[in-house]
Amino acid sequence: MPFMKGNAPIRRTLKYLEAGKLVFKEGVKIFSINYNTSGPHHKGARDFVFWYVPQIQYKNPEVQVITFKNMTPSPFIRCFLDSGKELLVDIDSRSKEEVHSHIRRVLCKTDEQLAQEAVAMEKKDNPANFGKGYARSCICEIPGQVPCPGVVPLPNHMRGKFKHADNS
Amino acid sequence: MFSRINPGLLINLQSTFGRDCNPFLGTFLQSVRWARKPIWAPVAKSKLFRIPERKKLPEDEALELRRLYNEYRTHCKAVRQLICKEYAASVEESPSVINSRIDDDLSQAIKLNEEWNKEVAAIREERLTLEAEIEREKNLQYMIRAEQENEEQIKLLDEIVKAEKEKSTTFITPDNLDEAIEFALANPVDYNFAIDLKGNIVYGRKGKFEEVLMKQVEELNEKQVAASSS
Repeated sequence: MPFMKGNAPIRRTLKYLEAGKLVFKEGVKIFSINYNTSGPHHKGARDFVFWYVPQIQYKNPEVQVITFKNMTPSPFIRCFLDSGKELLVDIDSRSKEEVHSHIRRVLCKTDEQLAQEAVAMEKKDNPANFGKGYARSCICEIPGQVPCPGVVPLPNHMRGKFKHADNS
Repeated sequence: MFSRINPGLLINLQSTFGRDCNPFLGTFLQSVRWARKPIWAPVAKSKLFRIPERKKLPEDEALELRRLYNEYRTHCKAVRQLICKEYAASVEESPSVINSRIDDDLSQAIKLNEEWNKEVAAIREERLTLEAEIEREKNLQYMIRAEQENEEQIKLLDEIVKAEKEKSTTFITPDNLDEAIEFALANPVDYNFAIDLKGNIVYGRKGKFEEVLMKQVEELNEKQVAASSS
């Protein structure tokens, strides 16, 4: 594959990797896929590996993603869970889109879960947040910020009593 | 905190201003804190070492207030605990609940996957039967072709054998060896030949061009005679 020819190189773009929808549930620890490099009934598996494995690995850095080539008569996906169980998905003669949607339904977090986690992550991540439930309860805890008027009165030039005082 | 404030005043203010002056929120102090001097201003020098005399309440009133406060604190504590408990229950699920939910989730996923695998198994079965059919057909064609080739080969061999048998009648055997020798001696074969620039060929070591030319002339004459007669 040439470096920048055809549509395959978009797999290497950050935008494509981030657009991946396959974020596995907590329990999934190993994702393995067996397929052959030839044969029409391996086509979907080949395409799945080609197009979606980069996204999977990007979105699931804690999961071991492993592919086995030319070791099986019919293609399949095998996931190992932390409970010791394993999930075998037969992908014989299936297109990559079908496999994608099935994996998303069976092994991945739902959109709602992802949205919730994104919100929680953003809250935790952003050091600018303050208030209840964050690292600091008030912006006045930062050195250099104006202290809360509940603790120390505001400087006079910020107080209406002085700003709007009738000096006549 | 409350011991330094006149409880009577507190109660009055609370009843007058409502929750804004609730002593538990601390807003009561805020509302009056700069009435006289800023909160961070130190105690006036003249008042620095003054020990204010403790206010004396009538005994029955003190008892009543204590009773009321105790009751109030108990109620507040109970409500607070209840709210805390309810909030904790709403936010956090017990490990058993979480585990059971994970198990349900997993069993649901396994069920979905089994259905999918069944569908795929059917597809594969179909594909395999189709492939087997094609393979069988191919093998059949191969066998038919092989048989045909075999038959052709046998036919060819038969022909060769027949031809050889026919030829075998002229073979030299010990029985007719003498005849063959005599025949060979009587009919010597000379493969030598000569050729001139016009392409006339003279066979034999002792052949003569004149003879050949004579033969050609005779042939021409014969042809002319035949042409004139016809």
